[in-house]
Amino acid sequence: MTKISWKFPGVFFIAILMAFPVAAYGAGALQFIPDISIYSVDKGGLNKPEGVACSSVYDDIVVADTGNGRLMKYTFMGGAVKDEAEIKVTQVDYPLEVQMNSKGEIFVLDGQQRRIVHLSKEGKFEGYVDAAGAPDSASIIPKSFKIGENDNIYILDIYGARVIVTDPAGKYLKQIPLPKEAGFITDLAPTTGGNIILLDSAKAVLYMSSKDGTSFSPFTGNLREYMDFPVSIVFNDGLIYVVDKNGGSIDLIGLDGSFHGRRSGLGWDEGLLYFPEQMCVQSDGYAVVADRENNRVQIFRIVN
Amino acid sequence: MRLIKTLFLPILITLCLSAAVTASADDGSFLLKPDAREKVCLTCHTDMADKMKQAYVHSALKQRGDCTVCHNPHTSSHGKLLAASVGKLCFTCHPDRIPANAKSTHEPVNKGQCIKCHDPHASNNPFHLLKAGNDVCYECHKNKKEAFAKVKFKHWPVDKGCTNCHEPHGSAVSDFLLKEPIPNLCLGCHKLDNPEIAKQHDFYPMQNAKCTLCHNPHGSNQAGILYDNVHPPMAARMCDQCHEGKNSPTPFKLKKAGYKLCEQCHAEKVKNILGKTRVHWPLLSGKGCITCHSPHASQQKYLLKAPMKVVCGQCHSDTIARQDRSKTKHKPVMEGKCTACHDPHSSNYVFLINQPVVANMPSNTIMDWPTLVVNLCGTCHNYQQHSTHPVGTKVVDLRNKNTRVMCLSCHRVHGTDYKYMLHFWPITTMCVQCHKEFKR
Repeated sequence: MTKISWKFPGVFFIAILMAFPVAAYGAGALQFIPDISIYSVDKGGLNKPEGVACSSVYDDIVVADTGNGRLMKYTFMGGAVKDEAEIKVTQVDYPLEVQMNSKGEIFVLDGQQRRIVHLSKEGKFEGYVDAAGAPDSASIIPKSFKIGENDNIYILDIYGARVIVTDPAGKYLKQIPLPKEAGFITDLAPTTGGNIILLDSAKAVLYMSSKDGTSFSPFTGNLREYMDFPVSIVFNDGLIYVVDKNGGSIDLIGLDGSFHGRRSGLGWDEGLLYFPEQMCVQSDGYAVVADRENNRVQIFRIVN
Repeated sequence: MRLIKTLFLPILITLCLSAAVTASADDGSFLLKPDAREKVCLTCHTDMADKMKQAYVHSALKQRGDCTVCHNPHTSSHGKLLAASVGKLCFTCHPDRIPANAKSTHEPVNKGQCIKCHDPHASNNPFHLLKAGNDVCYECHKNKKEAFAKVKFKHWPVDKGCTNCHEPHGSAVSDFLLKEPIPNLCLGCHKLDNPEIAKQHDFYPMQNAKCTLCHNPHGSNQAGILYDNVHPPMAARMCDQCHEGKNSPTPFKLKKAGYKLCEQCHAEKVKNILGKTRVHWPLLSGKGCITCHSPHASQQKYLLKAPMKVVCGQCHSDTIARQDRSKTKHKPVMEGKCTACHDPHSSNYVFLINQPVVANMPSNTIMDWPTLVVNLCGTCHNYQQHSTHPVGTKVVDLRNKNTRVMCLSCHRVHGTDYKYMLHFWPITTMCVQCHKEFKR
């Protein structure tokens, strides 16, 4: 081991100087440590996976293996992935997004039908989530959806320019119109308090509606300075995780609209992302990212 | 005595000082020659004497004959011994040229480049403009001049003068420097109670319509100065194909929202679009097709709202910006031909990539990704016909066992900060990303 001589105190002085800004910036900031990558080579290899869902109760991770027209289910426990299983149902041709509720039931947005498909925990078809009772429910085109507290389902209906909230069975509860000034809304995320956040990919702006709100208003400025083309968001533990597809990164935004940094970067090696689409946060503190153009799912350990 | 000292002495000193200040403001204190501000400069700057004989002289010179209004006769930090920077000097006397809360401003005015249009001393044109009439505008707006010369149907006020409709400095009320917002500006001349105008608009109530959605205010090759490409139902005045009837309380309300309205006529097109796995999401929004297309008339092909690069760049600004700063330009992106590689409506592939034509392969074959990419790039680049780095489905990317080597492994098609649109630079750094054994 190389010893550093005390004859060169300058080395330590420089080290201390360099540590200061890092420590100041890094205080409280989350770090992403690459942990595991899932390739599923034995099952033919993942092909353009776009969606991931983490269970809040179980150790399950479900992946929308979009290019293969199937779902993949894994158990992620103790930092290891096991029990790889393929789920293929005729009602899902082209899975784009996937979510799980507290019972482990699976919900999939199918790109071919542009409908949300409800599957059991084991992957059996249960029905469609069509927001029965919603005004103009026949014309709903979901661009994205999320499962929030109490397993309520939040649907981003781009045809109706609104967010529809349903109960866990898919029955209509309420709707909120999308902000008129928005460029193009691509994703939404409910917070633990029941607020709803919207992502405007075209203008790189986040909007929020309070739990009982009837409209959305922006709570960030234009975030283009920090990100290239944000495509999806996840809310976890007071932070909004923004997936920047073209930038190959995950960007962290506070609820006050402040930018908390950029994690990972564009590339092919493990730890880097190449056109990621979505992510979820596993209850043990792992970020699971659908690393689409790398044909894999990457799991990062989130550390403070 | 003490009172006199305490009260009157300061007053006396103040009076003396003010007298000194007043005296210093007088030219005499500068020992200036008689008529120095007017004529001394001209003894050397003889060319200015002729200039001053021109019809329109800058008021600072004409009324006061004072060069020092703008120039410092001794020293200056600015070119031509100007008393302030070019961007600020004119605004010291003309502070209101840009209206407060202007809705639009002329860029040269914004930048303080007044001399782009005006001669600061004199000219033979009103407002001592550099050129007469529209010619001063055409110095920058050459394309407008050329377009106006070519069009079959001209809007005569354009010929008479751009300032008939536009404010040259800034507009407090409208964008595009317009003197009035549209339709008020147009209605100033074109009265809606004119029976012919009412008939041309199928008797729809046009008093709040935006005329420039359909009409090219500078002229066009279409009668009625409609934009060159007109949506056939509009040309046939079949407004109620899409809008509610003219007698409806909401006559302009669309009969259906989004693509469902267009589907009425373009059923086959819509069916093809929706039959693919990936649809361009804005097409499925409530606005649908008119997110990118103009439903009435357009200057662009395919009734696009603007040139393709502008339309696509409204959402994909990062991609356009990447190309702009890229060292090597990708020709289709640079030229705004996004559809050379992408299908703007739908595709069975990510990034809405077009299906390339491959010999001996049916056009409806779903290709694997590396095959698709290599063939798409091969549409323009013939590298694969001679020597090339191994690419394709069988060539595993050494960085990632689930990906294959293809053009995109080394190049980013919308550009990078490096030559040849490479992801890394120098080239050796690019190569050792995979061939790590050669890394030094």
